[in-house]
Amino acid sequence: MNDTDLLTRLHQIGDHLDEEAARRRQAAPAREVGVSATSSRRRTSGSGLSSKVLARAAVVALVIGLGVGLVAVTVRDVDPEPASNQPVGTPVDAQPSPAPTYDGTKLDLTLPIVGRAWADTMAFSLSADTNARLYAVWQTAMAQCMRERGFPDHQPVVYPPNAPFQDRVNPLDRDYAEVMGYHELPAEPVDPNTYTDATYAALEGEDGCAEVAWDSTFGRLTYYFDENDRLRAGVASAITGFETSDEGSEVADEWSTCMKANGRSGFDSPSDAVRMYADDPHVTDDEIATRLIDLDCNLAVGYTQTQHEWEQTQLDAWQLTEQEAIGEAIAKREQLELELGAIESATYGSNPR
Amino acid sequence: MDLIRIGLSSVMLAREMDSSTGVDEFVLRVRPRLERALVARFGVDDGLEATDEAIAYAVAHWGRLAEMANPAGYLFRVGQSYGSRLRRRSQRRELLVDQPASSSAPIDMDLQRALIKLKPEQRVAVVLVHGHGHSYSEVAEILDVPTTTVANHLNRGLARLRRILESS
Repeated sequence: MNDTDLLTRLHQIGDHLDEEAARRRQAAPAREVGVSATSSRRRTSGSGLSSKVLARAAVVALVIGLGVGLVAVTVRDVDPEPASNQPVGTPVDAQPSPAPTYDGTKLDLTLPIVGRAWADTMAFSLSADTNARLYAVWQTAMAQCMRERGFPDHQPVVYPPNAPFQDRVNPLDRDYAEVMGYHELPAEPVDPNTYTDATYAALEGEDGCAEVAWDSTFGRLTYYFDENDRLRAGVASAITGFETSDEGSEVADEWSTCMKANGRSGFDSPSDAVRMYADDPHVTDDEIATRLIDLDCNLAVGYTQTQHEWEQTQLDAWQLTEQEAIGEAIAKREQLELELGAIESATYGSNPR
Repeated sequence: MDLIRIGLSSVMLAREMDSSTGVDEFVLRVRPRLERALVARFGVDDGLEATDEAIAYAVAHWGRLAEMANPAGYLFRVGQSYGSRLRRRSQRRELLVDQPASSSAPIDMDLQRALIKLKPEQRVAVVLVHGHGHSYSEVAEILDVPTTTVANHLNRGLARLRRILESS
């Protein structure tokens, strides 16, 4: 193929991407223009429920952890204008399981920390137990509110047991690799509720239960999350760049050569292999075989160890610059842990969870 | 582990909205390129959502962002981080875009599949420069890398694209 052909084809793809992006924006006006799009997320008094669901889908998917949010996204995909009071969307657990499961408690947490795992090991981060308690009290408050508004069957979404471990899967964890290949640890909440327009209105409408529960649970804890959010972004930023660093490029070349020598050509770095397999609905034998060759090559050339040392160096430098803020965030975390008990008492009352 | 953290950040973003001086202008200038970069990175669906999130972040944290040397590059990272999370929750996406309903021209599936196999930064550079006609310096700003690195991504990306397309 000559260069002109390729460049022409790329130009056409660019046009297609622009066309489709414009079409989607037209279909979902809440995304239309930067500032007004963000402002529109705050408006809850819209004309139609479906547009409200659309407008808030991005936020909702995150606000409710993943449970209700996922259903909201499902609704958008299934039917943008569902008939009133008809069930819309499907509970998440009714979907066929796309990949094998793995018990997060079996992960080897002693291996050299790399990538996303760093943030959870920072002293300013919340513990797994605190996160689970926050999630539980939040979901309980939401279910209580729904019951009070005439939805007696609405149940709290249970915190996924694997959630504390989702960022802790290590490239050198052989037991995990043998089962899950390149796939992520599944940690999706299972939402037992079904949703109708009426449910959504109570949950997501103006002064809906999502907002009420949010305020009662997190309303007085924002002091912690503001700073935590900034620091976690700082951690992510500090460790960015290993693959393009001299050390990273060198060890990736060695890894790639090892892969090729073992019958797996075409991978420039481990992330190439992740991209090839990680989102496939199934874990295939080929994926597992490649993953295990990858792991052996990783050990042979010291890829993860090199990455760990490089990232540790970057983080050490970052922590020096953020020393004061980190100290304050730790104090805020401790304060949050103290306040959580009071929030739980207010939510559970005489009915402990 | 940060299910709650993410939820909190988003809600706080939504609640802290404040149109401060300069942010509108910045958003107008950067948004088209940011959106194209995130669409090239994650596909149309997740790319648009990641763009919204990044723009929301810009509005909510404009004071901090305005002091940065390269706020556009920082926003791309914000969008990338959000897009990666969306991708983790979604089913496999083999294509950046399905056949656009509004277009009669058939979309080039072979090229799309080849683009997906590039490293993300190579794909973003190739699509922005050769798909949309952005300059090296515009792409360098969004990716927050020197223009020489953009050239490097382009050279490697195009070479790999040719190899993939020739072997398919």
